[in-house]
Amino acid sequence: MAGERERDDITGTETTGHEWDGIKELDNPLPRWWLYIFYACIVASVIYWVLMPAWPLANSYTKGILDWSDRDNVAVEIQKLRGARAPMFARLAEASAADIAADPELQTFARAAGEAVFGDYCRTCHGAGGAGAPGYPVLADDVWIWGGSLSEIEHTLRVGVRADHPQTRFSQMPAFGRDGLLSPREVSDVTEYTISISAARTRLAPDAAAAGRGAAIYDAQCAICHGPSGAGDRSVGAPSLNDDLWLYGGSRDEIRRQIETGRAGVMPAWEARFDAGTLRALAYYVHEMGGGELDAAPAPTQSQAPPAAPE
Amino acid sequence: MNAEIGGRKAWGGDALAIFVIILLGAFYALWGAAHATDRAFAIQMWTALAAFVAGGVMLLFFIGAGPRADDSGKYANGVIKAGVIASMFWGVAGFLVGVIIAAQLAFPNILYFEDLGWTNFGRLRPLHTSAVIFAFGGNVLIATSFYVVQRTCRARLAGGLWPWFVFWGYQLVIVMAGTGYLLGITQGREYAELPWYTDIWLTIVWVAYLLVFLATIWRREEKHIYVANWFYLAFIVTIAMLHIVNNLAIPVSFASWFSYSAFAGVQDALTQWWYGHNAVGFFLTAGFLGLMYYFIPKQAERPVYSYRLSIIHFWALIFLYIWAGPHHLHYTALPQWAQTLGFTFSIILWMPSWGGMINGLMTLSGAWDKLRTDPVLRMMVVAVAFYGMSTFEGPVMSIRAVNSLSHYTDWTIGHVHSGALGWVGYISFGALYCLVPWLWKRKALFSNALVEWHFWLSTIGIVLYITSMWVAGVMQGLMWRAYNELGFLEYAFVESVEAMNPYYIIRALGGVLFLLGALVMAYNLWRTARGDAPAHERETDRPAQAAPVAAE
Amino acid sequence: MAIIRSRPRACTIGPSNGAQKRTGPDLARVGGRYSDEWHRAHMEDPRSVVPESVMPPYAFLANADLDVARMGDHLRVNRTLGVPYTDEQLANAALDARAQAEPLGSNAYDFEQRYPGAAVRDFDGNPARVTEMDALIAYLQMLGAGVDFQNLPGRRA
Repeated sequence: MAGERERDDITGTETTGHEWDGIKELDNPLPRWWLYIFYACIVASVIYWVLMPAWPLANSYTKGILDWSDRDNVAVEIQKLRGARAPMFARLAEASAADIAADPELQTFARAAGEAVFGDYCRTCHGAGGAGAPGYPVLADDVWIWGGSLSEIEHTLRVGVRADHPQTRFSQMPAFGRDGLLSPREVSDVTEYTISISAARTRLAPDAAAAGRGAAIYDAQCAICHGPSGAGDRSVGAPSLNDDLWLYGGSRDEIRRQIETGRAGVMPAWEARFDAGTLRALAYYVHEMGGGELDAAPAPTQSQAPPAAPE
Repeated sequence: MNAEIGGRKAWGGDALAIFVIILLGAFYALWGAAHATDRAFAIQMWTALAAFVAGGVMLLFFIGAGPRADDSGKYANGVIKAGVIASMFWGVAGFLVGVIIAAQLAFPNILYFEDLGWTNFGRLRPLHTSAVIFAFGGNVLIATSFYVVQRTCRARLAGGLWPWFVFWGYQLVIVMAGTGYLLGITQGREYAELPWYTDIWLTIVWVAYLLVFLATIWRREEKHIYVANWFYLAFIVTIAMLHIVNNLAIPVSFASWFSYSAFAGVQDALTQWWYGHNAVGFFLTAGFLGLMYYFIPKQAERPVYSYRLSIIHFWALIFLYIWAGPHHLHYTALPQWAQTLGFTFSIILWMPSWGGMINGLMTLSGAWDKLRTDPVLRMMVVAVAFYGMSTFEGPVMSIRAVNSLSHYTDWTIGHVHSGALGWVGYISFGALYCLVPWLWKRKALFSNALVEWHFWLSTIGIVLYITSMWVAGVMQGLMWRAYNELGFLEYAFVESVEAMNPYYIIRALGGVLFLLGALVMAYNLWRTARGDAPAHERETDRPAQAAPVAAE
Repeated sequence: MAIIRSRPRACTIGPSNGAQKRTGPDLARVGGRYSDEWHRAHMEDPRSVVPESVMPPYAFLANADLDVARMGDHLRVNRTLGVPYTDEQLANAALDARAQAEPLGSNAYDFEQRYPGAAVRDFDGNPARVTEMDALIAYLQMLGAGVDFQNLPGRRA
């Protein structure tokens, strides 16, 4: 049959003798290199099957002579990483603020650990570098709602703010406007007064008459938490009103809106998610962002409040 | 063999059966619209009802026109012309949505509207993928398969009105899918987002498609079945199987779009990627290889390089592809043995995939000079080159060590687009450039210069797209795995998002160029069909006048 | 745990079902990581809280009432597919879905008895309505929330 077949004019190759709508096929053999690479891929795969887990059986699978398991390897690698970090974390968990301050190696480690955790868990709300966002306090300045010493920061991290932790930091500003505790006029007056005792007064020029009326309302409603002069009270989480830093925005409308609605954010409690070393590293990282304060007393190894969960 | 199939009466069996399907569909749509448990489903049902009523009216008009002429001695061209127009339309629409979502990722502040949920990336992305794969690609495959099977079997398309049912039924799938995605209706299964009722409708349409194709092959006047038809058939049969298994689900109610998959957990993930990978394998590879095996030898006027290679790589491809899906689930909860099989079969698949490239490229031996003068042929040859590149890149990315870097990154997006824009796009463009003069009986295209413009605009677009995504992907992969010397992660996730911005802008620019090229093409094809190119009838465009069967 | 579900599978690019692209971060253990209020702000305008984000806004969810009435149908289908819901849970599905987002409602106590440990809060900050925003935040807040972080084999240490 082959002898009768047509040959292609240009290449001189035989055709298969078929034609479809003018299309013919040459009878070229399989390219050698193609065939050999195909075989090589099959051989390589068979070798891989012999070495590695590959084929399913009735109740199991072929394990391969290397007895390789990704799951085991990951567990080993994580264990190795944990092992490598463990001594430093242990030192950190035992270290006071003064210990850390005296130990550059510990500082470097705490900074690196804190930065990694902060990037994954905290940055989302508090912003890159702790720059803050409306409703989420700036961590890079020296203004603290609940305290800025290493131990206070760590305690806040452990128990959260208005979180589902039995010892959580908790404060509740009433929604003076929304809940009808003050009339709109009174809200305006106390807004002007608040501006007048803050550093925003140069910026916002409060109405003196309204501020005068607002003073009495302030004394009756606000002073108990924010203090008679507006200095704030960290023991109840009441921010200072004397500076020009505002959690929910510093325009006149934004200040008024906060008095009306008393918004209060939530920070999760991290105690159950991180161990003591990680929490201290995170506290150190935040403390170092800009405004960390010194501990009043020599820092204990535990946070001041009794821990809710074992280390 | 049996030219009478299809009948000459106005009310043939085909018209009657289609009418019954339309009636049943309309009844269900009406019932669904009346009982809908949510607004989105009601809108879907009203849309379907409108489509069924329009289909019924169209059918009645056709029947009212009296007995059908005897067309058994002619090829069915009308449905193919409709398919060519639909391909171009959906192509431009799909590329446009692609450009929009690429721009959304590059400029999120400008292109999102917080109260317009339907403009969100999450809704538009399946609209883009479905529009380009199923609306553009699907119409190209249906139209070219109908063209090729007739010419290579020297038989008129079987089934009377059924090819038209396939065409319009498929357009209904597209409209239901697209409007559904905008309404937030999705199964959340990648490339299979269609809700259960559209899945059922697609199954009906697809079975009709399979039967039309098989019946046409059955009545062929050629002794052998041409290789293009093997590929088309593998594509149609396997897609039916994949579609049905992957979409097994229980709807919450027959008046609701929501359903729950029959699979759960890692089995669900494996089913999806068995489907997802083989949708690439049988829709975007086997189907378009069928197209290539007809249009490249035809346009180059050269014989196919190797018959033996076509047989071997066909069977190797369809046997091996079906195993490779697990490579989408490396380092997940999927058992490692399944990952091994997915990876090794992907490696073995390399040469069978390249068999198509060799046959495509070597078919040009003796006609390489035509690449200089014929931009349409050049487009198809570049398509084959992209095919070779992405079917090499695929196995490389399936290597577990490589995958641990590339997975979840934009490298995957670049890989998909080198295949989608380069291979599927270009081979489809080539086929459409061939088909329009042939179907509308013109001597040539309106303008070869515009084809050159299209070629260069979109080639630059593709290069910008895939290079930016390579860089972006490798960078993401490296950032996610970077540890500092103390054993802590170097970057937060959001830093990797931030780093992508310049590449997302370059990618969007690449997409704009590709879209521009397609618009140039649409204009050129419209001018060609409208009659701005000289008329010309091809001699072989009738079954009876085709070349005689080669003596054997 | 939470029975409120708002088209959880409507998320095309998510950690479920083996996603192929990480356009946004892995949400596998996002439960409890951020406050409801943060989620709300993030959903309404992602860049107001994460300036680098490319996520689309979902403010419209806060205006879409959750279809709680048919929650029982959802649970029933899930039971057919093997999820072990009890008859009681099926019968009370609609009430429970509402109760979970109405801590002061009359059914909150019954709900807590049926789903011990489940969060009961007004997730979207709008006590007047139970919306798809409530449902989505409730769903996000339970992702990985059942994991005992103190006893993980590969725990950060």
